[in-house]
Amino acid sequence: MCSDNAGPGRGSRVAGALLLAAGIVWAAAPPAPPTPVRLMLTWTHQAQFTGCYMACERGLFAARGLAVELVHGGPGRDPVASLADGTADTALLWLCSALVACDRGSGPVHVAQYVNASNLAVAAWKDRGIASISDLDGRRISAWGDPFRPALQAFFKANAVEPVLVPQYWSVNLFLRRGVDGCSVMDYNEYHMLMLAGIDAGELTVFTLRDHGINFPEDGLYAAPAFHAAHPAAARHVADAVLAGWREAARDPEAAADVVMRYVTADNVATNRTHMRWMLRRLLPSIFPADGVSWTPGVLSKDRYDETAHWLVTLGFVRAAPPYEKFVRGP
Amino acid sequence: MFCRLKLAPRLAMLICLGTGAILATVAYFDYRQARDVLCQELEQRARNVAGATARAMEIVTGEVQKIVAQTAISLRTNPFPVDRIYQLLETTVREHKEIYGTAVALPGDPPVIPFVYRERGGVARRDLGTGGYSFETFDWYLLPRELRAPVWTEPYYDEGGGDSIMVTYAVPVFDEPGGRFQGVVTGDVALDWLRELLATLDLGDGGYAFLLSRNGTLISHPDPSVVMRESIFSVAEEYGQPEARRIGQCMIRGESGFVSYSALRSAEPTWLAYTPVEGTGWSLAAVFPQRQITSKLMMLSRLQIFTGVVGLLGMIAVVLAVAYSISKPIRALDQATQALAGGNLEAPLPAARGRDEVAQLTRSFGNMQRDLRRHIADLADVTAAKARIDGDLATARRIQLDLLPSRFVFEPPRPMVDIHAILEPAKAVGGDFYDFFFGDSRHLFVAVGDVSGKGVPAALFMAVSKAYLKAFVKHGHAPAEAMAHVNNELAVENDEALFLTVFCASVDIETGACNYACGGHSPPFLVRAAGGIETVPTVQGPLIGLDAGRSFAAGEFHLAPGDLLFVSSDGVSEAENAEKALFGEERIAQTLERLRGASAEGVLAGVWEDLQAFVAGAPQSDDITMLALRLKATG
Repeated sequence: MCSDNAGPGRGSRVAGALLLAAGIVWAAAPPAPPTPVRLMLTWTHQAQFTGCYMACERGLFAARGLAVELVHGGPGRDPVASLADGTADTALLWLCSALVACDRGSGPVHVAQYVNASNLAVAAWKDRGIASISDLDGRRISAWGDPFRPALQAFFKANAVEPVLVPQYWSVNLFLRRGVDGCSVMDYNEYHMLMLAGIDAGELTVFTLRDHGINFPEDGLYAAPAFHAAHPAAARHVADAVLAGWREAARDPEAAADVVMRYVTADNVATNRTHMRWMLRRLLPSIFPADGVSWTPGVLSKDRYDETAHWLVTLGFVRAAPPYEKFVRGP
Repeated sequence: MFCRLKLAPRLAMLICLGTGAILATVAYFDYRQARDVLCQELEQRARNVAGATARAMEIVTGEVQKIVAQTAISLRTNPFPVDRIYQLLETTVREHKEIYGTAVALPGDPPVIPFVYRERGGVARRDLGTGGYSFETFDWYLLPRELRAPVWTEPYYDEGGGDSIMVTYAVPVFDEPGGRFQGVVTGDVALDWLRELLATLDLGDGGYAFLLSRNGTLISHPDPSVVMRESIFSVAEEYGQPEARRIGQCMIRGESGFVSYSALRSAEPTWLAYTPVEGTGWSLAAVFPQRQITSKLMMLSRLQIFTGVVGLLGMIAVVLAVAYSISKPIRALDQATQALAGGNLEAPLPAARGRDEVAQLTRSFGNMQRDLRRHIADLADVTAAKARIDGDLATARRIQLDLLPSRFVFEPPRPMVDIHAILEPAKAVGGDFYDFFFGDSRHLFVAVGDVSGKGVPAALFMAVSKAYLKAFVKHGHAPAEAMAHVNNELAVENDEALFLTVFCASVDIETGACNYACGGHSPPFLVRAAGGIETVPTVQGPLIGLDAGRSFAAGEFHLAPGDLLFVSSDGVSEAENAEKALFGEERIAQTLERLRGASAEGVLAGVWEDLQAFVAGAPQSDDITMLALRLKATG
């Protein structure tokens, strides 16, 4: 059964119907109880996790014999720590987070990769004289920490600039109040939040990292090693169901936005449909490649894994990274 | 259409149309003026409400700012121990009901963050520096530290703080002005009172107020579902309203304004007044549906239209009554004149009262009717007199024509003469004459005369002249002698100075010898049978009747058998057509040449036809007389 504090109930009804159908087919055998799975999200409810919501809503977990509980993240709720301490069975993690965790010996098991392209960017005030990357040199730029910091540092290093980095946490308000010249943003999230704070695109110079040679994969599905060892098939089913959920979202983004809004409203997240629709629309091309060949949806891109691992080692975030095949195959 | 209407409805309609157009114009300008006045009133009211509400907020926020700033100053000047800080904070919370909680964040290892807040009617303490609370990641700490200035944070929804919207005022503490950062003092304020404050505003039907944060987020709005979730920019994007985005940008820049825009959800035309809440970065907007104005305007307009229509109807009635009263004598006069025009000259006219134009017209018609009656009576008398004169003239015409020979065939033994004559007076009676008779058995006397003038005097003079001429010829006088005698007789007591021209000839029908005389007459033509046309040679002879004792020369010519003598009055040669051209001697000669060989009657008929063809209906101005004579060959 799919559950969450805010989880709508329609998915469970669909799942029930599917289970009933399965029961008729396998009338001779008693139905196996669904496998409970706690799936932790990297942040509070938002369209970044539409695949998970759609898998719940459309009964995609239940159809695979899973009873998935969605656990939202947020300030003070670290998915890596949750996987390590057993409060989550599976979690969405950025590749960087997973590699750092692996390097520290508490490596979660990679199951699937959804976001195979980087959506990270640096936005800066044009009226502060920032028009090109070189203008960032010596400027006060607020930057997120883990898991964003490696990509940002790689971007600065690759472009030979050394801004003064100011810590950035849960908001872009320091940037909006002109406390810094630039800040880190996700193309699908904070960039649009700047627009929704009355900033016009023409006021900003935006450096999208993937356009400047830094293209780290982001959200992927990982399992706690113990859970994966006990339920390897369930972990795989979770991955498949979430990918199928993303396909549903891509097929009908408006219906998907409705589902997202039910989650954010139930969890009292301070956001709106306009922003969620933007987030979904901007995120989908990094899950399903526009050219259809850059990567296989759901599968971690080897080239980008190698690029990410290289930069993490180079920048000293990890001592070493496992080879691609070992990373994606798991223990 | 108007032309088909009678005077009264036409007058009423034209006046009403004109007045209606003036009324409509006045009503339109009234409407615009009223709208402008109402708009100005509304703008003033909107600005007042928004301004007053913002000032009310500033009292609260200003108080909080002062309290937190004082705490910060106290900490900077007196680095209290933690217990003393707690006491200070507790006092602050207890004494200032607008403050929900207050904290002091002193970074260090370990950090010290005493926090005092309201709980279950009292106050509670908590040290946020313990339990892994990452205070340095939050805006209330980060922003004042990095900006080195007090800040109001963006409002946030605090589930632990009574499920209300909170906002924090945070003041950085430095060891000295511009010195090293020591920590942050905060004051948390629940914003429930904002909703209550805005809900109590009297903004009229459909009016409401909303409050934007520095980022444009809706902190307060009548629709709770949008509070803290939507910003004015997200709603503008959702509804595709760039104008709302522009207004939102003006608001968060701290500007004041009064603008017209369409409500995002309902698209209702709306006025919006906005003003900043100083010190907070917030912007307050008061929204007034334009129907508040339009409904008043509609009420005014309806009243105006109603009174206008009633007034117009009243005016139509008055105008119709006045128009009918004015046109009543005109209608009566019209009926009377129609009877008059139908021939009833005795039809009574309406009484002319007063001195207005209609009365004057009636009197004029009366005068015209009287004059017409008199004129018609006179006309009847004149017509009777004219009928009598016409009758007399007709009789005179018959008598005059009877004076002329009308038989053109001579009894044997004088069958060899072919003679014909015609006389066509220009008036009833004329002054021309012709005559022919045998003076003896061989001599045929012919004459054509033309008396000066026309009408009755000329006719009488002609009759006398013709009688004298015939008498003297009958007494055996040759033409010249006879004409001298006639002249002498007519010249006596000719007070009217009438005179005549005469051509007369005595033709020996056996020899063809012609003895003739001419008194002022144009010479006749001779159409020779042998070929050629010539005029009779001119002989001396004065006008007859003017001067007694004058003599006339005699002339001779020979008229061979087949030759034609053509004598005419000047009514032939001087006949005019419409272009005032004369028929002329030349045309007479050409006609005679064309008619060569015709009988005397045929020649005269042919000349008459040519003459009529020439004048082509032009009025005859003179008597026309023609005579033709031909001697036939004997044996």
